[in-house]
Amino acid sequence: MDMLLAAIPQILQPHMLITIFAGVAAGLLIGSLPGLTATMALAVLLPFTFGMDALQGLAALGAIYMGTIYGGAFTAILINTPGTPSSIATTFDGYPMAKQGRALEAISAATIASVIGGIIGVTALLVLAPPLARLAVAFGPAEMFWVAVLGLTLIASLSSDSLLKGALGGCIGLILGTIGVSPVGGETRFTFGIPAMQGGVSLIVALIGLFVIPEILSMAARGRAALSAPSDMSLERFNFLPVLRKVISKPVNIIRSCVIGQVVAIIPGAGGNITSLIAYNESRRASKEPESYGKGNVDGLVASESSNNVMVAGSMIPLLTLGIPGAPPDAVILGVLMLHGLRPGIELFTESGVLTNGFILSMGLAALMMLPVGLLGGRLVYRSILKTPHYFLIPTILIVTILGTYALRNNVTDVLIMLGMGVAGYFLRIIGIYAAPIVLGLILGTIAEQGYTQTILGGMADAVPQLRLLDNVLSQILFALVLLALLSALLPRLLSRKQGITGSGPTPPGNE
Amino acid sequence: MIQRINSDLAAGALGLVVFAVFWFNRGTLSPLSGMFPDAVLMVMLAVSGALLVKGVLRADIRPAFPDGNAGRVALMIAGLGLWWLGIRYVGFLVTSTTLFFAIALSLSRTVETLSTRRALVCAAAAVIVVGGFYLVFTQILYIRPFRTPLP
Repeated sequence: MDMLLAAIPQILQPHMLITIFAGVAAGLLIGSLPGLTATMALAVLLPFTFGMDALQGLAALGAIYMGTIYGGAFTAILINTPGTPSSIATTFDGYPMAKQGRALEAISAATIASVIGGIIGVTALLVLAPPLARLAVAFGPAEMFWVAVLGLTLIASLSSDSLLKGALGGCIGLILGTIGVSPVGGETRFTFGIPAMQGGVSLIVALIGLFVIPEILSMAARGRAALSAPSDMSLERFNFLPVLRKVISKPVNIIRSCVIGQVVAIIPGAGGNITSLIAYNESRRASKEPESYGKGNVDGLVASESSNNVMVAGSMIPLLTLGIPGAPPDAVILGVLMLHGLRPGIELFTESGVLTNGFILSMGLAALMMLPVGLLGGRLVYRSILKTPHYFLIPTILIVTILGTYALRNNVTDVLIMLGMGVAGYFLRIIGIYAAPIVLGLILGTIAEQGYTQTILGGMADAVPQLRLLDNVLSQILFALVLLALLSALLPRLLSRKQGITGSGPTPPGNE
Repeated sequence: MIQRINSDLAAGALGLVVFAVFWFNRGTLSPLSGMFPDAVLMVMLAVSGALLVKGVLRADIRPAFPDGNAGRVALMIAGLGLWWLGIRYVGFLVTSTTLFFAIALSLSRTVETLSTRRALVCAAAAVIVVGGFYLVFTQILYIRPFRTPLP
């Protein structure tokens, strides 16, 4: 507590406040550009922190991280393109809201949810770090496999017009994820004789291609931008307070999403993309109006944005206590810690306690700054995107996506893969296979494969090695959750069929 | 007339094609590396089969081009292909400026008639947007430029 109190005056110094403000603004700008991820933003801006002291440098990167994750929501809402992978679930309701002329309401709700999520995440990091870190250590290969399978069951829910097509999309994502070097055997697989494929299909490349290009092709085909007319969205008529009241009037939705975000965030490798999808799905299941999700329900947007912003601070728990990055951007933070001679572990909370607490508090401050920066910056982004004619917007988005894809690995082949996957994604969408299950399969493939293969390897001497997957209580609980998730996805369909309800069913989230 | 497709049959057929492409290119993988992809491919085969059966028994028929203009989609796809080839073999600035101009001019025809003024505006936008992003990426973010004959 003494160290926490000692850290407060340090982060309230003017130069620290300016640094955090600038970090959030820069993060917001970069995060709102499709293809520029939080990891890339941190990596690119890292050299600018070399001249700073340890606390200022860490605070700057923490603020950029916060701003980037939040910034991803802007393009997710305005052009159905997640600026960062964490914003996939934000597109599901954010974009339909924008199409209904409620873009500013969506941006405001995302901002409020992000601020609340950010603050809750920082509080949890301060209070719960040691016990939650101990829980994360208990997740072995079998548990990680079940966590991945649990995530994969979301595929069924994500493509609610056809479970089979959702499953096929997930399988396509999983098999694309096996391209390149096997994570366990070390062999090169499915490269089709192309050396550049040895590195596998980058998640970001697939994400940009599958989410951006089909939308571009669709906009070009319609001969107009996908957003509704500016007259529907007068800035003057917009009032922030009703949105605030609407968001905080459903505290259970926010708390549930934040708890999910916090629990998933401490599992190394899980990341914000999974966090927001699970939180979104649980919000929909718990809702009295599940059919309105995917059609502009603000609760879905709040669930996604609050959970992915909890993840920013939440993923720092394994990083600061164990030195294991909870998400890819954390690896950059780890590098900065090492650069300043700081080693993760208990010493970070004792010998360097003031610095560590200052860093954590600075993220809380960054979360608070998202409110003014987001609401002002959001209007600027909104205005510029809305007022740009579609014939300039389409090639401009293409320029950014091409440059962003190339910049990931300085690889022209990535651009080809991105464009190819995007064109394929457009035609897949026509036959009812949407981007979300494919991307989810791609994300979870490596985690599932590592967990499964390592567990089976450990049970090679057993008569039935597969039984090792259910060897302990935690695995059994996760398995039960998988069954529950499957049943809750299947039962409503079976019941509606039994009752003779006809029609195409609810629009798949994110696919409208 | 609106063209329609049996989306279940199409999805099932696609699943079989993806299955075949990966199954016949798996080579001689060890059990460690092949265990997981094999399982996924088997699931994919089963799901594709189920979709084919559903396509015959209870087909989901939907419009083949829900966005309306298939010609513009084909043109855009050709443009994307040209864009990549240009970046790869000519240069980012030259290719992107040219294609930005061509796409902007072509799409602007859907809302207003072609004119010299419109063409000049599109050309100016192409130079400013492409040049601006190129400078930001190469000079501020220090992304290594594309290694092609032209910038």
